[in-house]
Amino acid sequence: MTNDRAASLLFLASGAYGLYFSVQLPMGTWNQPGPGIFPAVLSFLLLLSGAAWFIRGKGKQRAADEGGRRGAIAVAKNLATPLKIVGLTALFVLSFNLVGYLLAASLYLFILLLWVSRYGIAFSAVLAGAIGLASWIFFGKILAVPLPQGFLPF
Amino acid sequence: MRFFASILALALVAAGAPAIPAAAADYPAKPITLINPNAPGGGHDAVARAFASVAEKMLGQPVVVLNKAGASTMLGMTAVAQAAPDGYTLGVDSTTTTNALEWELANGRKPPLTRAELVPIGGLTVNVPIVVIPAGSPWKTMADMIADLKAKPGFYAFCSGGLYGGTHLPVEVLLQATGTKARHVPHKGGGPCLTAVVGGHVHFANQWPASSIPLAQGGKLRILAVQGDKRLKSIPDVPSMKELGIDAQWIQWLGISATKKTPAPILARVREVVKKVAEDDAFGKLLESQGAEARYLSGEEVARFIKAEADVVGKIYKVLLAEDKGKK
Amino acid sequence: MDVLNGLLNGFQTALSFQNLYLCFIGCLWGTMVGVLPGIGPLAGITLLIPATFGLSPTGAIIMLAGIYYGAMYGGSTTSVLMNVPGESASVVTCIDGYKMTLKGRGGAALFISAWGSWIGGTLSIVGLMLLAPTLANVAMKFGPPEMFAVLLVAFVLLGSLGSGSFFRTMPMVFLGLLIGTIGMDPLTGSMRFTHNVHELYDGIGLLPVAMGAMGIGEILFATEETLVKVIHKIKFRDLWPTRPELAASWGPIMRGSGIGFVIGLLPGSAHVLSSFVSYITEKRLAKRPEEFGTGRIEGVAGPETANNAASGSAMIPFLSLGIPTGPAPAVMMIALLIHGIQPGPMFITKHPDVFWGLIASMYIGNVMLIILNVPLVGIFVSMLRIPFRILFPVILLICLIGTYSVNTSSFELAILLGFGIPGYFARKIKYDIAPLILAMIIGPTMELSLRQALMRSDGSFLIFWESPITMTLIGASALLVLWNIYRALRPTAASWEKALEEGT
Repeated sequence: MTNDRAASLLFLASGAYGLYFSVQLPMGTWNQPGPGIFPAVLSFLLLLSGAAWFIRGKGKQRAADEGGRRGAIAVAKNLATPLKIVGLTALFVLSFNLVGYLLAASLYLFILLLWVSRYGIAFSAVLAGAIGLASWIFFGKILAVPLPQGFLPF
Repeated sequence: MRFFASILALALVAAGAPAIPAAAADYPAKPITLINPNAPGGGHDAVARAFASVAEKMLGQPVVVLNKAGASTMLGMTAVAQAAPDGYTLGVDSTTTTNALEWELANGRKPPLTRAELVPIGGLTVNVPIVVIPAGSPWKTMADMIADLKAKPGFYAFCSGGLYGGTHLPVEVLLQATGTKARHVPHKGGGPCLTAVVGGHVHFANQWPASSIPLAQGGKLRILAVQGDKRLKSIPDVPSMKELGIDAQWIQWLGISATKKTPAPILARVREVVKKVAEDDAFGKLLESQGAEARYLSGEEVARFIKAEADVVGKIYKVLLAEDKGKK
Repeated sequence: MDVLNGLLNGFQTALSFQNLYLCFIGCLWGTMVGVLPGIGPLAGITLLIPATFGLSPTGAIIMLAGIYYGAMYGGSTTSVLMNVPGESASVVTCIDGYKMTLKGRGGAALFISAWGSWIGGTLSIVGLMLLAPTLANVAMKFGPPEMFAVLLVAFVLLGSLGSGSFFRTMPMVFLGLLIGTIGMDPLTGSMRFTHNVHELYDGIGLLPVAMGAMGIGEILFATEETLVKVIHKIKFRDLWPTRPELAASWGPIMRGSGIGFVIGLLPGSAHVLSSFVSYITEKRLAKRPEEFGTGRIEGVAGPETANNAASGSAMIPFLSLGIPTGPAPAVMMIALLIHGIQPGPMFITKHPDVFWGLIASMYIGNVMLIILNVPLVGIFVSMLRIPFRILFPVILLICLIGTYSVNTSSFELAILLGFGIPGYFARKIKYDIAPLILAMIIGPTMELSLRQALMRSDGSFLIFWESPITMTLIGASALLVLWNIYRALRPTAASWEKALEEGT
């Protein structure tokens, strides 16, 4: 399966989802257009363009769309690092309302530097602490941006 | 590096580092968060910030306004309801919240919070909508308008700043009181709706005095009536609905609420501040410049307001939803 | 001359030491909030409102306006250097700006965008000064049918935005429009695709999607391979634009000023729309449109000029009628109200000192901004010398703070991350995500104005054929569609496939 086909499946799925839920909404009349009509038409067009793309995605190799025709294997390659980052970020978001911004952010930076960037423990800890504190002062205190607070005052 | 240091220094000057309180009583011992469930920039935001700036002087602790908009104020008020009952999280409560909750109930959905989860501390302001029409409209008085609305039910169009919002419901009250019908074209916000009136794209609208009065003075639109029981100081020659004998008054209040279970002494302390702010001269002037009125309402009065408006709004929603069903 | 007198008095006011200082603080603050992704002019102005309580009304509005137009200068920085749109108005700048950075021309892109911002900003003040009352009345003529017609043109143009083929872009556009319908329908109150999640009632925020799909996606992509090496080597002499680059950007800058000024008058997302119309115009006019998306200076110069020009004209409805067309002018209006000054039709005659002081300060402010921004280009570009493995956690953190600060909600962060993942895959298989984001912007207004127009006309489509404005615009979009079809059909049957491939 080519990348284009995989992408078109996503479009088809979104179109089907959109159509399924929008036909349940009132369509209204010409002088009182309802909430369903616009999303329903869009979902239909999305399905149509997705289908067209699915069929075309089968074609032979062409230079212009080289990226799209690379096999699915290339896309699945090198997923480890991005996966780590996404997971860590999710953990950070989940934890900062509990332990507060300063602690959560410093820890988040520390693990990123240690595990993803592969710096030494001491260097990572110092840098993470410094950036965490600096961002807390800059955003929270100087810019007065609301930062998440945990049970601690910072 | 020197460059960044100077940026920081300037930023500190500009931000006006918050004053550190010399001494504080038991409450408040730390900064208070005032959750404003409206997006920054609206009229409610101005009132909230003005309240905060006066209140922090009286309380001796910073009052930080936090905008938490979404789901027509329900998200922010849910955060208020779920906060710890220690008086350090207060919320800007208003008619808008009642409208949103009633709308959810009328549609058979479960709202994220109920009125019972909040305790009203006190009201700060009341605001009365006015009926505005394009400058070139043939209507000279409210009577002309009602006569025409009666002659052609459903022909004339009006706009609002949002469906079932603070500028839509007063029109429905007016229409139901006069037994007339008109077509509603909702807009996103008061600005676009005013544009539609000035540009003559709709026949009338009920809008807040703040933004409409200058336009009327500039001859861009005309004001037919004040939807309250008395005339407004800034437009003394415009009659009120009560004078005209139309039973269609509408009042939008704004006040401060907290989560229930907040200890009574703390509520009393905040209520005292709310009262003082509402009676403060500078605050009154600010409200007046926006065409609203600073008026202190006690917690019980607010509770009565809420109950009354919930009844009215609930009934309107039922009628409107039934009409919608009839069309399908 | 009235204008000349007013302006002279205005300069007298604006050149006082205090007002100069306030203007500078506003511009500096604006540049800063502009550079920081997520924290835009709106947050910047709101944060400083309490600080204006003690100032004179003229001083207050001078400072707040400085933040407003200053933020547009800063917005391009992160877009060009990191593919993170600093403001939603800079989404388009990412397309060619970031590619220029990858080629080592990031400094030039930033330099040109500062230069274009200055010209666009200054020209639009001239327009504001001379035409404010007239144009305000024209802006009032824009009802739902006119708004729909404008967006229809934008929609037809969207298909040709992506660097890939027309067919590859269209699903993205439809998906973006569909995402834009999520939330409460403003006309009936029905909930669409919300599944009882209250956070979705107001729809999905644009900024988390843009920053997630473009910024986070790019970071995830970049961490795959380039973690250990420095990604961009930049020599100091590469900071300046070359002669051909300067020459190529003249046209886009002049056109961008005009486009931005006109579109800035419209309500809603005028900044975003103006930058994107300018980009497409440049692409249409280019001799080799296929090179757009690979790092053309025209793709940076035009849009960045346009969004600055839009700041000037967006103040017209607010100053001369008291009707703000966007959230940032609305906050400025409140600041004036706090000082007891009513913006409205009588504002210019009643408070000439405030109006002309503001106008004069805007000329001064724009000069300050270009002086401020040129050295900043050097500083920001040299930040790219920091090893990427230190830089990327910091960029991530700033994106997260910026998104969180908009509404103090973790839900927006979930959206940021949620769109980062598809953004990453799209980047990997070379799909363009910008059309999706722009479709999200125009979609809701387009639907709203279409339905409002039909409600007003009682279901008759003739309402779109009543005013000269709509006639022209709808005619133009019809011609554009026909032109696309013609271009697709013109080649022989053998090259039919190829023509589709290259798109329009």
